[in-house]
Amino acid sequence: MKTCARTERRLGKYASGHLSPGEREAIMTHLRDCPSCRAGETRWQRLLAAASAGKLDLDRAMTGIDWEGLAQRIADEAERRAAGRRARPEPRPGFFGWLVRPALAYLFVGLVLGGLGMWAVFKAGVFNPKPRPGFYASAEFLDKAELELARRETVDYLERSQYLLLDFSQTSVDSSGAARRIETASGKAVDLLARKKFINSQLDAVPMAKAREICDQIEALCLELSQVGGRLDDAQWREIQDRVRRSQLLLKINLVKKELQSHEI
Amino acid sequence: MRYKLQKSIAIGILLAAGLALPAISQDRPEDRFLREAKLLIFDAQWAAALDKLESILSQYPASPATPQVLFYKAECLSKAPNRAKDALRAYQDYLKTDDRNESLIEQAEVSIIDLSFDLYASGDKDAVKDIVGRLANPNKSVKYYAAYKLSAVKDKAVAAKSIPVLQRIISTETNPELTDRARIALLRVSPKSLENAERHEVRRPDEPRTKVLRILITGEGTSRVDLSIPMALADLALQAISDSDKAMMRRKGYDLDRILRDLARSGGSILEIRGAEGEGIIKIWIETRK
Repeated sequence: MKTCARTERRLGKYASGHLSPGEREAIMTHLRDCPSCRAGETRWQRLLAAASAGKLDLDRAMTGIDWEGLAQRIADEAERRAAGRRARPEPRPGFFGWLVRPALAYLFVGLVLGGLGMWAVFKAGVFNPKPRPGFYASAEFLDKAELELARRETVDYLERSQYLLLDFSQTSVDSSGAARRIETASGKAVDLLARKKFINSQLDAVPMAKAREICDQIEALCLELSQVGGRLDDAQWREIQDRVRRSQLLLKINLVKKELQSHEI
Repeated sequence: MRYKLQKSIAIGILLAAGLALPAISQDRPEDRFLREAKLLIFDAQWAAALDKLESILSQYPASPATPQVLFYKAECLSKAPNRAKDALRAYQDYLKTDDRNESLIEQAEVSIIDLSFDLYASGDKDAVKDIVGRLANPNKSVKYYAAYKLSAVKDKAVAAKSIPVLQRIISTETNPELTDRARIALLRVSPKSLENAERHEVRRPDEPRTKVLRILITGEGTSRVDLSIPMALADLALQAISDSDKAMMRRKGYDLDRILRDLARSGGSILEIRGAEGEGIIKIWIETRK
């Protein structure tokens, strides 16, 4: 138990790397066997990590302190009180009396440092985050957000293409209302072309690589369909249907779509 | 009477010619070659397609199919390595033709923006003019695309030219894909401009404040994240956090729906998800600002 109490007192210095190699070794040995002190050490590590955010403020505050003057004032004060006590009939100091004065000085310095440390930690907003004005996000985050947006848009693009191709492959050129259906398909193809350009930049990213080829193939078909309006002769019609069948486009769309959908949390 | 008869015959001949023309044009050899080139393009055989298209242009220079051939030639060049400038010229040649196919024109404009962006990124500073010029394009799609692309340019002074169009997208468009992209682009170029756009967005009189999503991730072994973004981007933001943090959230029973539901119920208090020892803490909350 005594070892625990001593270790706990030194955990702060241990975590911040301010112990001699011997003391450090002793604490490390104790931490290996004591879960309670280990937990205490983890708390210190977290606190220091959080405080590192406000380190600049702390450094600024620390440089503002006249350390030599502070030590001198503490020593003078101790001397003055000692002189006052000598003037009065003073009881003999106890067995640990000689230890108390420097310990008080250390305690005072410790309190000052601790206070500054806590001020820096709170200022960093770790425990009670305060509103910061304006919007902000790192460039890395924005890249990820754009990739996520592209993933969703690609799933949507593939879904719409799937419906268009299914509808197209089931229609016969000489069936009733074929011209109107071709015209509708042509309009949908124009819409798909508009969507595709916004995902193009992200299709080169690694997680989207599999979607690139298939999206390009769909785009080539859409370009063709967008130009036909309501006119498409039998040969052109069969040629496009054959292209869709030969490239197994619908199967590929399903596979890529499922893979992209599985990336959601 | 005679005059009327002549007029009817002339109209009849013209109509017959008009009906017969598509049938004749379908038999043109260059149309067949163009179809073959399109097949090659579909299979991503760009070099072979380019050869075919160039041979059509040399053999049938005055063909009605020439505009389309020029367009597909530009497409093939844009896929070929180190041919970006040639592709740019080919698209510009296509735009000079009288072909009025709106889809191909839009596609060509967008491809010019992409190619100019790549040329600018590889050191050709003048190339950015082709993007800036398209911020005033009458076609909304081209204008928006130019603004999105320009916002990604590294030179902030140049990227800032996209701000008015991006702000306009947020204030006038209802399609969330367009507005979310505009928000991300503005966050990249000028967060202050995004704030202004959000503030001026039309709201109900009883909802006069901007809702801001804050995400703070701290702790050992996790990336430190500090975000302050419009609430509209909440689900995107939650999807965009690191895989390890997402895995931790899943282990704790949180999915996207639950987080958004809890945030809506929390009434401004902080939703805190604490991982196991060494994993870190995720704090998410909503602030309202004037």
